[in-house]
Amino acid sequence: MLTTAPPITVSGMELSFRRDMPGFRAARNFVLEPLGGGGTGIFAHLRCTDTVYVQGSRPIDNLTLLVTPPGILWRGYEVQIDEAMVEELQLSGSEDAALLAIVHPRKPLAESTANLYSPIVINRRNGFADQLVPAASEREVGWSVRTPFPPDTDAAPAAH
Amino acid sequence: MECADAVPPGHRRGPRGSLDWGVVLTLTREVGQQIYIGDDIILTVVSVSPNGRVRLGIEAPKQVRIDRKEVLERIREENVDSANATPELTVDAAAWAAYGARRANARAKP
Repeated sequence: MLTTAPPITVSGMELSFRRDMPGFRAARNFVLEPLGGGGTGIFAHLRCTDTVYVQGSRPIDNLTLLVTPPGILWRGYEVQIDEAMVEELQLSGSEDAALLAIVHPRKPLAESTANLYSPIVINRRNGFADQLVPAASEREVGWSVRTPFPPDTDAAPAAH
Repeated sequence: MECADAVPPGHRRGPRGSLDWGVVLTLTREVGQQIYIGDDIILTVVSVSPNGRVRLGIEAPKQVRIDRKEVLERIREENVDSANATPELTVDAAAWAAYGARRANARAKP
C-alpha cells in the first residue's frame, strides 16, 4: 500500500513509461510540465515526446494530457500497488512513489473530472512510470475513471 | 475506426489493429483441465458455477500483463477522451494555473 505524502507540488521531470499508456500505442516518453510558476500550482501538462498512434492506426502529434497529484484535491486518497508494479518501477519504498491522476478537462473548470480509478504511478527517483490497471472493478475500488472534482468552497461567485 | 487495409485470408485484425493475428481457436475444456498458450502461459479452468460464472487461473511470466478486457478498454477510452478534450481547454494554461494555485491555497488552510 502506497500513499501520496502531502504536500505535493508538481515538479517538472521526464517520465519513461514501462509500457504504452493504454489507448496510445508507442506512448512511452513524457515530459511533466507544471502549470504556473513557483511551485504553487497543482496541475501539470504531461506531454508525450514520441509519435503516438491511437488504436494502431491514426498517428497523432503532440499528445498532451492534463494531470494532478490526486492527494491534494482528494485528501486521504491512496491506492494499492501490487508487487509486479513495485518491481517494474523499481520502487524501493513508498517515499519513491508519486501519483498523478489524468484530468478530463471541462467547462467550467470546476466541472472537470479526474481518473482516480487508474492513476499514473511514478518513481520520482528514476522517472519510471506506469498507469495502474486495477484487478478490481470501479465499484470495488470505490473510485471512478470520471471522479468529479471536490466542491470548491472558496470559489468566488461568477468566477467564469 | 477505419479499416482501409485488406485482411489476408486466414487472418483477422488484432485488438489493437495489427494484422498478424491468426485464426481464433475455440476449444472445449472441463474443470481442472489446462491449456498452454505459447511455451510458458498456462490457463486453467478452475470452476464453473451453475449461473455460468467461470473461474480461470492464469500462470504466466511476470512481464506478461493480464488485464480484464472491460477494465482496460474503459481506461483506454477515458485516456483518449481526456486527451481529445485537453488541447482546446488547456490552451488556457493560465486559467488552470490560477485555478490550481487557488485550490492548493484552499487546501493549505486549516
